[in-house]
Amino acid sequence: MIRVAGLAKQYGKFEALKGITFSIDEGSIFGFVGPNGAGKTTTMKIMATLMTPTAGQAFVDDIDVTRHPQKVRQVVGYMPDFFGVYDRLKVTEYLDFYASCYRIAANRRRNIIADLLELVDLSHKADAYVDSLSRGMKQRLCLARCLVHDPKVLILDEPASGLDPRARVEMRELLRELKKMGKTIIISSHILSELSELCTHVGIIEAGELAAEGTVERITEQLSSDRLIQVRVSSGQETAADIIREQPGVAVVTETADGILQVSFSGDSARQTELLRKLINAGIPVLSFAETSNSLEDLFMRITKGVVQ
Amino acid sequence: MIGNPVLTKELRDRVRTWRSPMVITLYLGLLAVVGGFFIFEQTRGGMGGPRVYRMGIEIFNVMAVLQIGIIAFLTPGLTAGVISGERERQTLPLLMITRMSPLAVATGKLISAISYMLLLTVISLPFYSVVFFFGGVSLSQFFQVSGILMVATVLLGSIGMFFSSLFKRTTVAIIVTYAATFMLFVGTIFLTAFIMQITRYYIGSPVTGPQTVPFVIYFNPLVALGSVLPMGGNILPFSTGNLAVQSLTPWQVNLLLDAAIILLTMGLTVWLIRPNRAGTKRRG
Repeated sequence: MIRVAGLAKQYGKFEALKGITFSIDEGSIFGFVGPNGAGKTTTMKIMATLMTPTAGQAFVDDIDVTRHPQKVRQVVGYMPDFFGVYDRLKVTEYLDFYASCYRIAANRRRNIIADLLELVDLSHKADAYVDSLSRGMKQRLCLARCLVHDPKVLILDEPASGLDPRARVEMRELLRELKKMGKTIIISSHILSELSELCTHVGIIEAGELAAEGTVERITEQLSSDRLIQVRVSSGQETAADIIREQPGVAVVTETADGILQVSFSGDSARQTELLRKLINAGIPVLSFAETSNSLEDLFMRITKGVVQ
Repeated sequence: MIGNPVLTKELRDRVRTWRSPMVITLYLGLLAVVGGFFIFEQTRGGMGGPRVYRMGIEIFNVMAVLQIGIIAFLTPGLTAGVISGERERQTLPLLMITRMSPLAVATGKLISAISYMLLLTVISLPFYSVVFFFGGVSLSQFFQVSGILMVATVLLGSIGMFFSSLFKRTTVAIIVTYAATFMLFVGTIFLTAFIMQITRYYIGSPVTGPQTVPFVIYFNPLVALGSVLPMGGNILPFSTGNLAVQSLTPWQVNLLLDAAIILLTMGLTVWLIRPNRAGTKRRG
C-alpha cells in the first residue's frame, strides 16, 4: 500500500532525512516514533504531497507522490500537528467547505457530513462555531475533515498531542474504528505506550534515519535480546551475582541493597529461563525474577540516543 | 466561478466580522460628508444659469477621485492578508492538498475582495444620482469611470495578494502593499517630475511644444481616471506635457499596463502557493 525507498530531504546544509526505506501493508496502523526534529513530519509531508524529496521515492496506493501528486491527494487524508481551522465558520460549514474543495457533489455532502459528525461524535455541535469547540473536539473535527473524501490512507501527525487523557482515549477508539473500516493509518506520536497498544507496525526514526522498523511483536522481540532483569534474593546475594556473571549473554550485574541484583542480559527467553534454573539449582532463595521494563518506550530510549531534542 | 468554494467561504467569512458593516458605514459616511460639503459649497450662490452644467461635472469628478482614493486605501487592507492569513492560521497546506488548484484559490480570494469593493460601489450609486440631477455627465462616461475604478481595484487587489503570498506575516504584506500603492499613486508623479527635471537640466527644454512626459506616469491610475473624466485634465498629472504614447489614449495605455501587472502578480501568486511550497516550513 505504501512504499518509501531511500527518501532524503535536505534543507540547505541540514539533512532532515537520510535515505529512509520502509513499507506499510494495507489496513495496518503504522506508528512513527521519534524525538522532535527526527524527520517524522518531513516524511509525512512528502507522503501527503506537501513537499518534494531531495532524493528517493515514495508511493502511496502504488502511486508515485512526486509524479502524480493530484492522484495521491485523492487517496490520502492528511492531518497536520496543528488545528488549521477557520474560526468564523460553523462545524458543518467547515466540513462542507473542504468537501466542496474535494469536488464532492452538493447533494452528497449533507449525508457525508452527518455521517462524519456521528463518527467523530460531534453531531450535537453541528451548528456551533469552530471557535467555540474544545481542543479535543477541534482535533476530532480535523480528523473528520481529512475523511470527507473517503481516503484509503490517513496520515496523522501527532493527533493526540495536547489532548487530555479522556480525549486521548476517545481519539484512540476513533482510530481503531477507522482501522475496522479498512483504512491504512500512519500515525506519529511521542506517546509510545499508546502507539504500542494501537499500532500493528512501528518505525523508530532518529536524526533522519530509521533506527528500527517492523511489527510491534518483532520490535518487542528485538528488545528482549537486550533486556534488563531484576533478581531479588532473600540471602546469598554475592553467590547469586557470581553465578549470574558466569552465564553467557550477561553483560553487567549491579548489586543493590536488600538483595536486589540488576542484570543487563542479551539473550532470548530460553536463556532467561536457563539463568533462573541455574540460580534455583545452586540453592539460591529467589524471591523474584522479573524484567524491569519491556516496553516500546524502553526500546525507543535505547535506540534513540537523544541526538535531536 | 460562483461554484468556487474559496469564493463562497470568503464571502461568508467577510460578512461575519464587525469590520464589514463598519467599513460600509465609514465609506458611505465619508462620501456623504465630502460630497455633501462640496454640493453645499457649489450651490451656496444659487442653482441657476450655465454654472449648473459645470457643477454636475465637478461633483462627478470629486466623487470619482474620492472613490479611487478610498479604493487605494481599502483594497490593500482587504487583500494583503488573504494568503498570509491562511499561512498564519496554518490552513494553506490543508487547502492545497485538496483538488483546488492554486489558480482557483487565488482567483477565489481576489474575486471575493473585488466583490466587496463592488458592493461598496453599488451602495454608493444613490450619491451619483445627485450628479444626474445637475446633468453634464453622460451614462457612457459614468460606465467608463466605473470600469477604470474596477480595473484599479483588481490591480491593487492582485498586488496585495502577491505580497500576501510572498511574505509569511500579514503585517509585512500590508505595509509593503500600501507602499506599492503609494508608489503607484504618488511615487510615479515624483519620479516623472524628477526625470523631467533631470532631462531639462542635461538636455534642455524642447525648442517647440511642451516637454515630453516620461512613460512611467502611465502606471498611475489617476492618469487613466483623468483621461476619461469630463474636464478631467484638471486632475490629470502633467496634463500640459506631451505624453509619450500618442497613438493611444492614456487610459488605454494604463489599462494595458494594469493587465500586464495583474497577469504577472497573479502568476507569481499561483507559483508561490503551489502545494509543494505550501508546506515547506520545516517541522519535526
